[in-house]
Amino acid sequence: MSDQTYGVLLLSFSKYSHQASFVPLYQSHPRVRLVAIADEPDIEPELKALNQSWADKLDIPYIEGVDRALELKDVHIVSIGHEIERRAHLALRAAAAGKHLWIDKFIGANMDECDAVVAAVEEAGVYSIIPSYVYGELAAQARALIASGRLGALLGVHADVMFGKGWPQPISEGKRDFLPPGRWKFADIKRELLCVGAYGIGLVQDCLGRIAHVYGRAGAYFFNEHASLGADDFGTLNLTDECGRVATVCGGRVGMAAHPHGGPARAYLIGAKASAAVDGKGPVLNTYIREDIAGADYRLPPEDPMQWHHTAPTQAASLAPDSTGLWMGLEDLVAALDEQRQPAYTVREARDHMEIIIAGYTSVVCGETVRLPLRRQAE
Amino acid sequence: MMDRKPVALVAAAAQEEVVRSICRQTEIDAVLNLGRARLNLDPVPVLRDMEELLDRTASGTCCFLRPFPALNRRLPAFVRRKVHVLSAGPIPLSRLLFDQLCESAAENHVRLSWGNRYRFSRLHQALHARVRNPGFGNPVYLRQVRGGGQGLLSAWWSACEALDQARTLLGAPLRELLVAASRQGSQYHAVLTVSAANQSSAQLVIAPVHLPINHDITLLGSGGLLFSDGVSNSSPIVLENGIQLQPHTDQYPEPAWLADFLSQLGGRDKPLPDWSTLNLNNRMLRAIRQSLRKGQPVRVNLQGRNIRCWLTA
Repeated sequence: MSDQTYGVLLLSFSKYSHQASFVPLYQSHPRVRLVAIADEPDIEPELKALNQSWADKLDIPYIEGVDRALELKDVHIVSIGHEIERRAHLALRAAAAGKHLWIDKFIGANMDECDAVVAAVEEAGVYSIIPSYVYGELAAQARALIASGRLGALLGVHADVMFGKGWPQPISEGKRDFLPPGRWKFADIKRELLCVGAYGIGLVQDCLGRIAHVYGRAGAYFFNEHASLGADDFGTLNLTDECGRVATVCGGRVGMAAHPHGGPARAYLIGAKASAAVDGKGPVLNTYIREDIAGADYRLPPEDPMQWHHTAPTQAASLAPDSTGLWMGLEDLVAALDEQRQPAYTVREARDHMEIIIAGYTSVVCGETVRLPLRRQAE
Repeated sequence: MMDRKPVALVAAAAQEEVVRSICRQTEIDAVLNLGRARLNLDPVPVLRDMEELLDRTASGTCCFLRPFPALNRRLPAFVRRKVHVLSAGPIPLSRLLFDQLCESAAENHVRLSWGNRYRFSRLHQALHARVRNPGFGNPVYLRQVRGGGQGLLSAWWSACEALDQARTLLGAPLRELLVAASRQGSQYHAVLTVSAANQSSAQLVIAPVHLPINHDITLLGSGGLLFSDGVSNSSPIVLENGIQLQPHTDQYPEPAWLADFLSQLGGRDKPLPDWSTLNLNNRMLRAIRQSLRKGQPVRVNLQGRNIRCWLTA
């Protein structure tokens, strides 16, 4: 067994990413070492200050200029936590520099970017992982159930993932037209079929074959902030794979205090012999402490009103050692580097994942089922 | 004192619990067993032959809890024998046969009714009451996962009921319906994706195998979430070799549904089924078949004039 330690370069602490959630993993893994933080020189001053504060906290250097940081010999893994619009460009440069990639959720903002990342990673022969989808409790339990054979032939998968965050207000009249795919970044909101629906899509990818048809619906139901921009706070997808198996997904930010565990994360696996429900929040200890419930603080943090980096009070304590699966993801990446193989979910799967999302948004806009692969503009 | 008219059930052995539940509330004269497995309801006679069932229920009532392929052909015989028919799901009839059947039912003073069973479910009633609570806000999304049983017609019946219940819970006419289905052998899995005029939507999942009552339901409103799952609402029995779930038997809607039907037979008014609803259900059945053939979702057109009544009901 190898005892090599892998150095990690953290590329940005953008508020649009989970980089901050990855730090404790890197700190606690015996085979991983944080080397530096880096970002582009042209970023907003607030982000620059945030990057610097993380560098101070972690006692590692902050390097302005990504290419300069990529020259560091003791960097083996680049952890990309920038906004979605910058990820592909960073991934391309990191791969070209021979660095392995840990990328938060999305590898690019459109199919051209995603294809370019896949090509660059494969050409460079580096290893890549998108840890967000197939290592968590929901996917792991679903996979185990399917593998057990007890369901019989799998006929369908259906996932509901909702974040109980933010404080909804009645939507005022006069919504704007729904935005097409590609416009992802906003100051105070995220497109939630993209950000939350992504987990259900990842599960479906893991359980079924290649997706062939996508039908989507999405809109603003909870937040005026989304409605006023023509963005979605909730959406649904209907998917069929190449064998005709059926999947449905819903995802959204539905407001705090609507669920004891902070929002459902549930999947139904439908087999010919049996059906099963998997709770991604389980196992839990339900905690009904009078003082906690009666005195729960549901006030929104002023600096984070959509609670991107905060959680609302819940009545449960997770008993899963790694419910998000990030630790398992890091273990897989380290093993992959040792064994010189790709991890379970790479940029190639992430590229297909983004294709499903873009097809879903396209379907919302055109009102029709969209067939995959997507036809490209050049064709 | 009025003569008591005979009441019979048509069911499969897998429905033994619900049949027993009905028998506890209503005196049942016979049960026709559609399945191969044995059904023991002693002292209620269990029949295997449809003709014998007809003989025993003449001028009475027959309640179909499970579909069978020849039901559309056999139904006229029930009507001619003045048997009132209550069915858990629709009968796949062409417009011509439907009109002939309704005409015959009117002549024979027979009541025909299908669907609406869910309205007698305590779960549905509780959901419906809370949806109307202002705190729930506007309906946003409904997820339902329910059993369909073996065979295409059983899955179709379940889909029809799920769709009707969705329309009730979403509280608005339906605008879009997409049907997708997959199968292995006689195990059918159907999924309905529904959009309503109030922008709410539903994903309705019909599984070949699922709990018999208290389906899994998630109903999301702008003000909160209503959720029920069948497993939590059953009593677990821990055995040496696994766990079984015992549903709470008083949760079956069928006894109240049948009792309601029987209570209305004395009245003069014998309302007949609505063609527009049946037409939509027929089209949904065709869409399930088409989706199975093509391996992709199929849209059911809801814009036709002939289903406007149903859409705005």
